Amino acid sequence: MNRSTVIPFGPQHPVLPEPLHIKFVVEDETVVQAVPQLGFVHRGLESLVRTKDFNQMVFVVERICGICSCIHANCYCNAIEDMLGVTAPPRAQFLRVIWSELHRIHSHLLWLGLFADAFGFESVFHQFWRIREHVMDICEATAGNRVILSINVVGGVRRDLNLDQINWMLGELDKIENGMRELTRTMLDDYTVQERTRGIGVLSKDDARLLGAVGPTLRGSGWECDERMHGYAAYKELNFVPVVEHDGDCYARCKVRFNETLHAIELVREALNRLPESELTVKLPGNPDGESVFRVEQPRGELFYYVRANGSKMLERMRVRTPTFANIPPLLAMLPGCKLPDVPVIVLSIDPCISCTER
Amino acid sequence: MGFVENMIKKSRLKSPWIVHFDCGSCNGCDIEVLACLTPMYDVERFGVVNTGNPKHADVLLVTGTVNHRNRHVLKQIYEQMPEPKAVVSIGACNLSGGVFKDSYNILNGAHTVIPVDVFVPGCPPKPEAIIDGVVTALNALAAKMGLGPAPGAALMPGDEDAPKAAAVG
Amino acid sequence: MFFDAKPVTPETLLSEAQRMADEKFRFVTMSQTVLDERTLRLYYHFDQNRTLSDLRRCCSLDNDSTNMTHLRMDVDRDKPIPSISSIYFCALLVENETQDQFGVRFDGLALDYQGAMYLEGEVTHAPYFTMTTVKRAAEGAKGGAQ
Repeated sequence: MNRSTVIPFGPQHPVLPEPLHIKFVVEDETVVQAVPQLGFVHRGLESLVRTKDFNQMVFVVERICGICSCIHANCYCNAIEDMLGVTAPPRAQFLRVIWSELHRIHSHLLWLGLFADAFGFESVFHQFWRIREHVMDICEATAGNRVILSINVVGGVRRDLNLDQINWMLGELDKIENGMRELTRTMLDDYTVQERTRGIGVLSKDDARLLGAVGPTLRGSGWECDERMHGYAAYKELNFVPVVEHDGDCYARCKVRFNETLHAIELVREALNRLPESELTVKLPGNPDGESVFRVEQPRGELFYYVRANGSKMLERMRVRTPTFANIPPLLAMLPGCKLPDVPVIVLSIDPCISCTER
Repeated sequence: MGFVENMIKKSRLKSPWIVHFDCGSCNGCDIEVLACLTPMYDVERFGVVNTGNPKHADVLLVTGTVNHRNRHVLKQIYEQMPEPKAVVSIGACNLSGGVFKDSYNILNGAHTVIPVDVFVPGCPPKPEAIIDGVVTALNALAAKMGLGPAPGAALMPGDEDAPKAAAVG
Repeated sequence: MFFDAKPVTPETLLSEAQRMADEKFRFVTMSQTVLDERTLRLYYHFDQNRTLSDLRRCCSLDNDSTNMTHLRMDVDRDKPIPSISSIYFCALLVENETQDQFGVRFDGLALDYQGAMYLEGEVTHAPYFTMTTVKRAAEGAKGGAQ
C-alpha cells in the first residue's frame, strides 16, 4: 500500500521555537515533497523607511533578527556610509568586528544546542547554552543589553571598550574556548551524533550554487565563499580564513559551525589585542543620496542590503535579503527522499531564522 | 470544595507547565525564554516545564508581533489550553507592536486577540523579568481557581512617587 | 557600494539569466524599487563565487570589491513579468514576494502562491505602490500553494 499523506510541520513546533510551517507530502515514512508556507512573522518592516529617518532605521534593522542584530546594523550602516562617502574610524571598525563576532559565537552556540536537541541529545543542548551565557555576560557588560546591542550608528559606534573590559573579555573568551574544546568529543566525535547526521540531507556542490545556498550551507558543500573574505569593516586587517567542509551533509554543516565558533573566538581575541586608538564616529556630511548595495556575513550566511535614497532624511527604499531566505530553496531540495524522523535534523541544519526570512 | 480537589489545584500552581508561542518575534525574546530553561536560570527547579502541547499547558507565553496571519494560530492555541489558564505577553512588540507599530501587517499587541494577564515589557526583557512575569501569572491563575486575590497592577520602582510628583507639578 | 547594472528588457531577461547560469554565477537576490506610479524597477544581483586566493590576487586591481554583477529591468506594473525560476529555482521566493508587495504578476513561476505568500486573504492592498490591489486568482483556483 503506497498512499500519500500530507503532514503539517509547525507553525508551533517543539523543535523549532519559530513559526515555520512546511507541508510534507509523505509516502509511508518517506517525504516526497515539501511546500513551505511563510508569512507568520511577516512584519513589513521594509515599509518603515517611509516613517523613520535613516538614523532611526538602524534600530529597526537591528530588530529584524535578535540573534544577529549587530550584524544587520553593521551592514545597514556600511551601505549608508558608502552612499555618504564616509568611512567609520579604525577603532569603530574593530569594535564592529568584535561585537559581530561575539554575536556569531552566541548564534552558533545556540544553534549547536538546538541541533543537538533536534536529535534528542538534550544534555549537550544544556551544555552549549551554559557556555553561551558567558557571551551574553560579555554583551551585557560591554553594551548594556544581552541580546540587542544597539552599538552601531551611521558613521561609527556608540560605545567604547576600556582596558579592564578588554582584559576581562579575554579571560571569558578562554572559558568559552575551553568549554568548546571539551565538547568536541561529545559533539563531533560521538558515534550517535555521526549516526544521526552523516549522509543525511546531502546537498551536492553544484546544487548548492545553483539553488543559491549561502553561509555554512554553501561552505559545508565545498564552496570557499564567505563575505568576510571581501574584507569589510576590519576583516581585511585580521587573519581570516573561511572554514570549508566537503561532504555537504548535516554533519559537514555542523562541523563548519563548530569550527567557525572557534575561529570567531580567535578573531575577537586578535581584534581585542590590536584595537587601534581613534575617534569612535565621524561627522556625517548630510543626507544620503543614490543607490547602494552591501553584503556582510551573518552567522547563517550572506546578508544583502539594497538601499535607495533621494537626498532627504527618509530613505526611498530598503530591501533586505537574509541568509535563510536564500537557504530555503536548498532545504526544499534536501527534504524529498528523507525519512520523516530526520526532518527536524535537516530543517535545523540550515539554521533557519524565520524572522529574518520574512522580515 | 473537596480536600482532594483543593490539593490538585494547589499542586498545579507548584508545577506550572508552560507553552511558548512565538508570533513573529525577532528571536530576541524567544532566546531569552529558552535561556530561562537552561542551566544559568534553570526554571525547571521550580517545577516549570516547557511543553510543546497546548493541551498540557497552564501558562501561555506569547512573544513577538501579532500579524494578520499568525493571530489565527494564536487564538487556536489559546482555545486549546484547558481552563484555568493564564497568558503572559512578553516584549515590546507583543505589548503594543513596538518599533513596528506603523507597519501595514501588524496588529497592536496580543491583547487585541486574546485576554492577557501579565505584561512583561522590554526589548527583549531579561530572563529574570520573564521568570517574574510567570510567577505573577501564577497569582492570576490562583485567583481564577478561587485561591487568592487577583494581582493588582504592579508598581514599577519610582511609581510610588508618581502621584505626588503630579500633585507638586 | 555604488553599482553599475546592465539594462535588460523582459524579452532579453531569460537569455541573460541563462548566460549567467552557464557562467556558473550564483543568484543572490532581486531588489525592487518603485520609479513612478506605473513603473517598477527590478535589479537582479548575481555573485561571482570567487575563492579566497582569487580575491587575494585581484583585490587591489578590482574597484568593485563586492564581486557582483547586476541586471536592471524596468517593467510596467500591469504587464506580466517573465519568471527566471525555470533557470534559477531559488528566484521563486523573491518573485512571490514581489507579487505580494507590489501587486504585479510573474509568468511561469515554479511555485505560485497567488499573492498570498506573506499576506492573509483579508489584506488586499499591496503595500508599496499606492492604491494597488494584490492580484489573486479566484478562490477555487487557489489550490496549489495553500
